Amino acid sequence: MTEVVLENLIMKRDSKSYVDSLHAVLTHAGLFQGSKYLLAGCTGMAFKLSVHRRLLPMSVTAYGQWGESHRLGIDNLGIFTIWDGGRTRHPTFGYYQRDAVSWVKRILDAGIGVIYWIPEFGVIHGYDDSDRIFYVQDGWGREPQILLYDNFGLNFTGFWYCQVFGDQVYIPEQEMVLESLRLAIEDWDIPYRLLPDRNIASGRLAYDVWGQALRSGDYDQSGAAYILESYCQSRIEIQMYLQDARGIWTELEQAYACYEQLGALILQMKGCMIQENNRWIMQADATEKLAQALLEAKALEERAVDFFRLISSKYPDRKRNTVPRWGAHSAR
Amino acid sequence: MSNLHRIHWFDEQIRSGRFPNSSWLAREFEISRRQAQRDIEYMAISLRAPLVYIAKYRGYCYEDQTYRLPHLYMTEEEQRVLKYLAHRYRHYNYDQSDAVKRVAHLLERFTLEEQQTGSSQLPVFRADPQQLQFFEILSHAIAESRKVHIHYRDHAGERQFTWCPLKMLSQFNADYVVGYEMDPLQQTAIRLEGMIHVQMTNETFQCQTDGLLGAWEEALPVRKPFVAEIKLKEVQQTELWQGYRIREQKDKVHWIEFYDTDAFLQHLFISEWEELLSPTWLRRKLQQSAEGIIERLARSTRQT
Repeated sequence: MTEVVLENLIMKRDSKSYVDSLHAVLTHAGLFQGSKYLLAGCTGMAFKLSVHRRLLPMSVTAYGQWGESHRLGIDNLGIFTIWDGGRTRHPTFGYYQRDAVSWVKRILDAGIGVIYWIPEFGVIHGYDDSDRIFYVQDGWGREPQILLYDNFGLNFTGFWYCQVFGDQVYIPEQEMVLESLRLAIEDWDIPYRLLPDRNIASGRLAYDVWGQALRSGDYDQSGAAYILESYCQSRIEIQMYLQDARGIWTELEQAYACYEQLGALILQMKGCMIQENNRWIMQADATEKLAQALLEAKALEERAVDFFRLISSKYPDRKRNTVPRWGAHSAR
Repeated sequence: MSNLHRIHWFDEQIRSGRFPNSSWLAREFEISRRQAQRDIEYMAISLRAPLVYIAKYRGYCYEDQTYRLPHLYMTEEEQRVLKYLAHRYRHYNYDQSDAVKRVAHLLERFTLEEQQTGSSQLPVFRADPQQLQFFEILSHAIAESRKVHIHYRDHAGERQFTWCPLKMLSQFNADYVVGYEMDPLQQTAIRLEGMIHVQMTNETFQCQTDGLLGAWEEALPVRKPFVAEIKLKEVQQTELWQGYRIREQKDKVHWIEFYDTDAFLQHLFISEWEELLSPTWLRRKLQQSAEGIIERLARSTRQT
């Protein structure tokens, strides 16, 4: 029976797992030619910041309802996408799972990789019908993981998610950048993305929650380090993204300056972590220093986002000023 | 048992050669002498400590110097609590369910080992003593296929009925027992919380549970194992091949289930088998490993 394995599709973890997976899949399919930081910026993923009250490691992927958060970014690239996901405890999960297995195989036949929540996000790059398995890359090991069709979507988090891509329409660069700034503003302003759960804060509020957790001393050690690592990486991505884009508007030059300063702070923040057993962990006495640095960082980002606001106000925003009948969230 | 600390103290006193007696114990912990006497009796009888009273020193010592208090000892009551918790943990399917299920497995063996859960938080359950009691009774009834008489209260009012319990279930933070009143095909689940009184009767019932319980099995999907098709030298007579479950067999070809790939690969390296027929990805992995080893061996022989 058939075996399909996509060649030259390699995913490696550098940034947020979704960005790494997306970059691998789109680059392989020829739908995107550019660096990871450019992708992270255009899709708005770089600007996302979410922090759990106790700095749990799951914070890094808890930036909102995945379907919606990712959709806005993919739309901005002009790429057609189909995705499905939800909770595995729903009684109907089995039906959606079998359905997903079949369309994932079809897309692999068409030569495009599939984003899959392992956890975290990874890439399905092949299948074998005789063994009934998928080959999944998690970005860490050299060997792909083996996933039975029957186990598709099953993992300890209770969530499942997979996404495929299709054709692309052309979107002018200026529009893309403008929309990405608007996504950034949205992410900064909205405090809770996973209501009714108020344990996870996003954007501006995430900074406050983070600082509080550090000062209280009640937080998860590995989570704190992971959040900090991810944060540093994403802020550097924003810096590089704006560096490339600053020619478009003068305000972007000023926003970039804020992130340049933030870059210096990030070096300080990185100093608050040490490596132990091949893992990064927080230094015991560095929490106050980090909390202080975060306060300064928050002020810098606030200023940068205000510059984004200035830019955004110059152009009409049809997407957000025309609220459809069912409200701002998609009809799902 | 609340006298744990007193027992330990008494034991320490003995082992340091101080010949403690019941008055000391009473004085130390401000209990009555009678109570202290009961503690000592408990040690001697239930814990089987080789206590002997030495009149010369007016105190106790151990006849057998090598005796050690059992590190972990539990009363019937504690065992029941652990059994109940194991049941709840086993049915927990939300956050950290893997870690929680491992805990359940351990609790099932009635040990009190410190479980290193690290950063994960174990869920906390209220163990209502009355519900524990009902759980006990119902578990017995299920084991012996005995009918129970239940006095039940819910939004529809109070009622009493005789019932045939089949299985205990725990979902969404509540305990249920699945069973039927008259017709084995009309099963319902009732909550332990709603029970006012449960009594086992002497009547038994017959029920083929396997097929019928299908509807009440955990609705949650369970991870399926990988299956390797292996030809062994002899047909296996038992259900297991060196610890791994045999799902099916046809002559010498056995379909073996496994979850952990690395462990199974290791197992294939050290055990006897004739052919690995499938899956292809496992054959490939095994081949790569084997080739890697052969290459490394060749390297060393080249050097000598």
